[in-house]
Amino acid sequence: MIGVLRALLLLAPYEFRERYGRELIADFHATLADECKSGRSAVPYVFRACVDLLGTIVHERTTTMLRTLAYTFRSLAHSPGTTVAIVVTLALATGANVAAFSVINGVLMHPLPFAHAERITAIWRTTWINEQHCMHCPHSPYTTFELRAHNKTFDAMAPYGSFDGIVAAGNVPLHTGGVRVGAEFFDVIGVRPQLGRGFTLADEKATAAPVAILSHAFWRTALRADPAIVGRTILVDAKPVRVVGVLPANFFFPNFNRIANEHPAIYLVLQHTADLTPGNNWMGLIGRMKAGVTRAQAQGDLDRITLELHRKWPNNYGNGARLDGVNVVPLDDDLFGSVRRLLYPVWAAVFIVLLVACLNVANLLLARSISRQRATALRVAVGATARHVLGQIFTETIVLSIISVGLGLILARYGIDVYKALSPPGLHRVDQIGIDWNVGLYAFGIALFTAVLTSVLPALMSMRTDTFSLLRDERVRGGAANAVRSALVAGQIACAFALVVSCGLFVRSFAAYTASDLGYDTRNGLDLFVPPINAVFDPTPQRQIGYLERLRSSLGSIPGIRSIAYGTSVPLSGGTGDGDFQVAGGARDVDALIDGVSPGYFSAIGIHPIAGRDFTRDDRIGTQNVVIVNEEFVRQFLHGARALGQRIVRPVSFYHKVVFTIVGVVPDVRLHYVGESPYPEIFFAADQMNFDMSGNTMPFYLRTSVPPATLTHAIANAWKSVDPREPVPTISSLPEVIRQASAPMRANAFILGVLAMIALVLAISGSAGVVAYAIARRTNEIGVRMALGARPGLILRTLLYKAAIMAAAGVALGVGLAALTAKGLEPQLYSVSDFDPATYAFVTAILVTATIVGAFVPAYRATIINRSMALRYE
Amino acid sequence: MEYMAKPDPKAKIPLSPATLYILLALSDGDRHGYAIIKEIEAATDGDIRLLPGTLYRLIKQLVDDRWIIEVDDDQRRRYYRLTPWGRQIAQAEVARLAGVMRMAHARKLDPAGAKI
Repeated sequence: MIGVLRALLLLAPYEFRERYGRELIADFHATLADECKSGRSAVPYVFRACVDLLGTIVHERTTTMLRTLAYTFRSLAHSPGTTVAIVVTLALATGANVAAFSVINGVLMHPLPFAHAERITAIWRTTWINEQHCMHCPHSPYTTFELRAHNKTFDAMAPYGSFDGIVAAGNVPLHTGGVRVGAEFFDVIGVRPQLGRGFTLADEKATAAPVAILSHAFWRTALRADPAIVGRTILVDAKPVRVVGVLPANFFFPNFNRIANEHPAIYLVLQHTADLTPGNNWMGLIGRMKAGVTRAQAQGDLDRITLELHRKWPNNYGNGARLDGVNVVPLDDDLFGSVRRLLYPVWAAVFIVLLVACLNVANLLLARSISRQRATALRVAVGATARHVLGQIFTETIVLSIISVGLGLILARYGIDVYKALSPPGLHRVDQIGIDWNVGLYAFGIALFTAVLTSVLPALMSMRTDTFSLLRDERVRGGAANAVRSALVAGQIACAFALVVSCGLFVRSFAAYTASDLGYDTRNGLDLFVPPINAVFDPTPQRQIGYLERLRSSLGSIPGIRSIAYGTSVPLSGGTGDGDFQVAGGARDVDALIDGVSPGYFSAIGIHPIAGRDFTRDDRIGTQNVVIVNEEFVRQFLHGARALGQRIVRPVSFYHKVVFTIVGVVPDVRLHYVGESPYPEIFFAADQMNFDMSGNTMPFYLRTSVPPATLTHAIANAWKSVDPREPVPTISSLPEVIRQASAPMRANAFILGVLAMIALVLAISGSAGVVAYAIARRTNEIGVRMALGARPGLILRTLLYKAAIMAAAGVALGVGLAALTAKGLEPQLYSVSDFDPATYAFVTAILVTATIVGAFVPAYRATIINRSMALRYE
Repeated sequence: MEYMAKPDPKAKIPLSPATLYILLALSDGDRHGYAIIKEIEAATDGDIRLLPGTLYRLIKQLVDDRWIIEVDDDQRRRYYRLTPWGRQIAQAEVARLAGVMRMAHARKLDPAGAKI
C-alpha cells in the first residue's frame, strides 16, 4: 500500500519530492501503523491519504508552473525585438502549415459517404498506346457486360459514361450533362435514392422502357423539388424517359479519373442488345468486391476473363504480343491519386518553410542564450539546477510556439481563402476545407514540434556552459556556438534552395505550357460548346445537319468572324472517343481516335492537308464515304505507304460494316490536349456521320479577326435567330482554355513562390544575423586591426567570406535536397526536366548573391563604426 | 540594507485551521512531521488528524515563507521550529479567535461548558 503512495509521489514536482518525499512516506508509515493498532480498517485511511496527496501534487504543480510562466513572460518582455521576430517567423510558418493541412484534411481525409468504401474499386482497361502502357483506359460497353457476367469476386459491377443532352422536364428545355450507368451503379457505391427506386437489371434490356434517376440539385432547381416527380415522364433528347428516382442531397458522384461529367444532373440506364460487340471504348467501370475478397483476388479473377475475351476476339483485346488487361484500383487511390500528387508537394513545401523557420528561431534563441550566459551562470551559482535551466528553456519555447501557433491559426484562416481562390477547377470537396478538430490537433502537434526543435540546441549549449570560468572571466565564449549557428544558416539556405528550385521548375513548366506549340494558331480561336442539336424537336440526322448549316450561315453573317467549322471535338476540348477499325488488306483491328469534322475545319484551325483534299459540301449522306487521317495513322497502320485511296472498315455492329475511303492526310497536331503525344486519328465528314448524334455534342470552332470577347453578344443573337427555342451555347476562347488547363501549375508556382520567398528572407536574415553577431563579438579586434592600418576593404572581405562559406555549404546541401523534392514533382512538370541545369544555376546565383548582399549591410556598417569606436572600446 | 516597513502579522491572518494547528504544535518545542500530527491529534481528542500530503504542502509553504525553519539536529528525521515571525502571526490569529469567542459568548452562541 505504501507502493501506491510512492507511485503517486513520482507525479509531484522534483523539488518537492526531493525535499519531503522520504519524510512524507515515513509519516504515512507511522500513521498507518497507528490506524491498524486502533483496530480500524487501513483501506479508507490509505484512500484518504492518496486523495490528499493528489491534492497536494496538483497544488505544487500549479504553483511551480505559474512561477515558471511568470519568469518566462518577464524574460520574453526583456528582449522584445527577439520575441517579436520569433513569433512572427513561427506564426507565418505554422500558418502556412496549418492552411495546407486544412486543405488536405478537407479534401482527402473526410471519409467518403459510401457504405464499406474499402470494397469499392475502379476497374480500368490496360492497353498499349504506341510505346506507352495505358493503365487507366476506358472499356467498351461490351467488355463491361462480359466482366460483370463472368466474374466470381464482385457483388455488383457497373459501367458509366458521360452524355450531354437536352432535357425537357419543365417548360424550358435544358442543356444538361448526365451519365449512362449500368443498372447496379448505385448498388456498387451503396447509395439508395431519396425518392423512388434505383435501377434494376430489367431496365437494361433494349426493349425496356427507358428510365432515369435525377440528381438532387437538378430535381430541386429545374423541377422545383416536385414531390410527385417519380413516375412522371420527361424528354431526354426528344425521347420519353420515365423518372424512377431522385438521389439524396449529399450524394457524391465518384468520378473516377475524371472520365465523366463532373456533376451529372441525370442518370440513364446503359441499355444493351444481345449482338453487342467490342470496340468503342468510352466507359468507366466500378465494382463492389465481395466481403473478404482481396484486391489481388479480384484482379486475378478479372484477368482470367480478359484472357477468355482475348481468345474470343484476338483482334480487339491486344496489339500483337501486347495483350489488353484490367487494372483493379481501390476507390480512394483512383478518386484522389491526382489530387494527392497536387497537394502533397505543397504540404512538403510548407513543412520545409517550417523547418527553415525553426532553424531561424533556434538561431535567435541560441544568440540570446549566449548573451545570457552570464545570467544563467549566476543562477546556477546561487543554486539553480540543470533541471531549472532546461525547464526554463523548454517553457520559453513552448510559450513562444503556442502564441505563434495561435496567431498561425488566424493566418491560416485567411490562407485557406487564398487557396480556395487559387484552387484548380474541379478539385473535389473544396467546400469541406476549413478549420476543425483535426486541424486543431495538427496545430497542437506543430506547436510541440517547433518547441522541441527550437529548444534542443539552446538547451545543449546551456549544458556546455562552464559556470566557473564564465563568472571568473568577462569574456563570452562563443566559438562553438557560432559554428553551430553557421551550420544552422547553411541548413536554412539549403531548404530555401530546394523551395526556390521547385518554384522555378513550376514557373518554367507554366511558361512552356502556355507557350507550347500546338501545331496550329490558337490566337483568336473560339470554341462554342453547342448543345446537342435541336434534338428536342426533330432528332433525325438530316434535320440536325440542316440546322447546323443554317447556324453556320447565320454565324457567318457576323462581321469579325473569319471562318466557321464544327466537329465532334473542337481544339483543346479534351478527350475524344476511340474505336476499332480494319484497314483493308490488314489482318487485325487497329485502334484510332475518332472525330467528325465539317468542311473547312482544318483551314479554320490553320492546318492544311499534306496530301489529298479537305472535306467538301459534297461529302454528304448518300455520297461516297470518305475519311481524312493524320500522319501518325499513316506511319503506324499504312507503314508510310500511299494513303490516298486506301480503304478502312468500321464495324457498326456485329452484322453491319461500313467502308470508308481515305481522301486526305493532315499533319499531327495537338488537337485535344496541350502536350499530348501523336496518336492515330481518323476524321470523318461530320455531314456524313450516319450514326445518331444526339449523344454527342457538335461544337463550333470560330476564328475571328477581332478580339473574341467582343463577339459574345452577336453570337448569342445569331443563335437565337435560327431557332429561339434552342439553348445558347457556352463560349470559350482558346487562350482561356489554355489558361484554365495550366491553372494547377500556376497555382503551384504561385504558392511555392510565396513560400520560397519566405524561406529565402528567413535564410538571408539568418546569415546576416550570424555575421552581425560575429562582428559584435569581434568589435575590439576589428577596431584594433583598423587602428593598426588594416584597410576597410580587407575587413569587409573577411566578413563577407564568412557569409560566402555559409552560402556555398548551403547550396551544396541544397542541390541534394532539391534533387529529391524535384523528383517528387516530376509528374506535374511540363517539358522541363526535374534536374533542369538552367534553373539550378540561376537559383544558385540568386542565393549566393542574396546571402552575400544580406551580410554586406552589417559588415559595411562595422567597418564604418569601428573607425570611431575602436579605440574608445579598449 | 534598504529600509523596509516593519511587517504587520495581522496582514497574514486569518489562517487556515490546519496552518494554525501546525504553528500551535510547534509553539512549545521543535517537532518532526509525525510528531506534529500526533500532537494535534492528542490536543483535539482525535478530531483533527492531518494527512501527510496536506502536512507537507503546508510545511513547504511555511518554510518558504519563513514562519518555521528546518533544524537538523537529527540525522534520521527533520525537525521544524517556529520562528519569532511565525510566533507573532500565531499570536495575532489566536487574538482574533479570542475576539470571535467573546462575541459568540455575548450572544450565548458558545457551546455549553466552553470556558474563556
